[in-house]
Amino acid sequence: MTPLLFVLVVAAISFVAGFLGSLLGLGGGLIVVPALTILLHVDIRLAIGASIVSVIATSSGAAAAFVRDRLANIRLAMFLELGTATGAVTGAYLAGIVHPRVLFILFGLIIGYSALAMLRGRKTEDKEVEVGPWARVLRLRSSYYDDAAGEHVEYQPVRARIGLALMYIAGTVSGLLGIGSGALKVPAMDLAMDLPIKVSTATSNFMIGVTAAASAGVYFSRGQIDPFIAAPVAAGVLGGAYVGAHTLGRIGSRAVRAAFVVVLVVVAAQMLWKGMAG
Amino acid sequence: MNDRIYTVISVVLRAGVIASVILIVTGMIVTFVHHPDYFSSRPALGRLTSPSAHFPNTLAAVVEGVRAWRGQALIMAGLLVLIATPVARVALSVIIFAILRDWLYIAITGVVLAILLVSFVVGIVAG
Repeated sequence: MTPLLFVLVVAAISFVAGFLGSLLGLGGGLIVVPALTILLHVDIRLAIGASIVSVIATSSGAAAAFVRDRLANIRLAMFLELGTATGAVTGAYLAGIVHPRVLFILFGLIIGYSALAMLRGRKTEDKEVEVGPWARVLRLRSSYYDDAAGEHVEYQPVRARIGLALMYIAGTVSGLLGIGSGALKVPAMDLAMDLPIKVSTATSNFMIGVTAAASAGVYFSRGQIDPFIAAPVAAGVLGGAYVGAHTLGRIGSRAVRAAFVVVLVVVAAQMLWKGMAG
Repeated sequence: MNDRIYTVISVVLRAGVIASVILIVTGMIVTFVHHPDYFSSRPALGRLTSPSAHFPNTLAAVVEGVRAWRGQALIMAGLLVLIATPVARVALSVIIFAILRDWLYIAITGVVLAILLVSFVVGIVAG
């Protein structure tokens, strides 16, 4: 393969990763890492460096549109980043102590369970959930215009404390395992905090850039960010995320939820596989 | 009041993304112009993507490379702008909440910014 062809192939794959990542609140490492290592035989260390770039590109590329359209809830994101940021530090600290294989299996199971729970959906009509003092003090209530449904959707996030605790766990996992934690953030917001699915994915998307930026400095100085690989990844992902961000509003919530469940099953399988095969 | 936060953050994110895309694409073009063999040579790819490939991994090296108009350094500068964008977004939020005198959120975003900066700096120094 010539360098030119390599650049074009990586940019095309990254476009798809950015598109899906922006819709589902994930970083795209899920697609970029296997594509680079298995398909293009890139060294795993450089692939992980490229995947960090992909996470940040997905986040910033889509977030401008999500923020403008009010799909991402900024106050909620800032509050939850307290959990992900401290979690990421904890994860980096624990990295040498805990055996990753055990964690891969554990989180494979948790994500598999989340997929089932999200598939069943919530039954919020059954009982009114109390808003709670934290969610009230934090003024998390917001609304957005849903293009697909053609209506204004008002929502009130609940259980802010549980959400924060889950984000701390999600941040720790991403620090420990070097994975984007969108696959944990979205179910946490969806299942615990009672948010519309599009708000969960857009807010997760908004947050993942910050978590990744915190660790990007390490990857840069270790020389894991190879410009020749990261450039087509960044350009492709930014393009895909831009298109994805302008698509999310227009597709139905049920389709977003279904696509997310499929991705969760894939992630769970990947993690279980890594845990068992080493 | 709330609208101002959303507008400013959206503009900052967009500016960071556009600046980094311009640098990355320019760097890519410069790389291919300096090395016409990259259009056809197969072994070149192995050198570029091997774990022992040489590319700038300190701020000083990036600055020096950009001055010399080297493609890889221009790309790296673009990637660093991209990495700095979410950090800038948090820093700006602190300022906006300060203007709004929203003490609770000044504290929240301030703590997040502090953690980010510390891990960023520790990462570069210790990495």
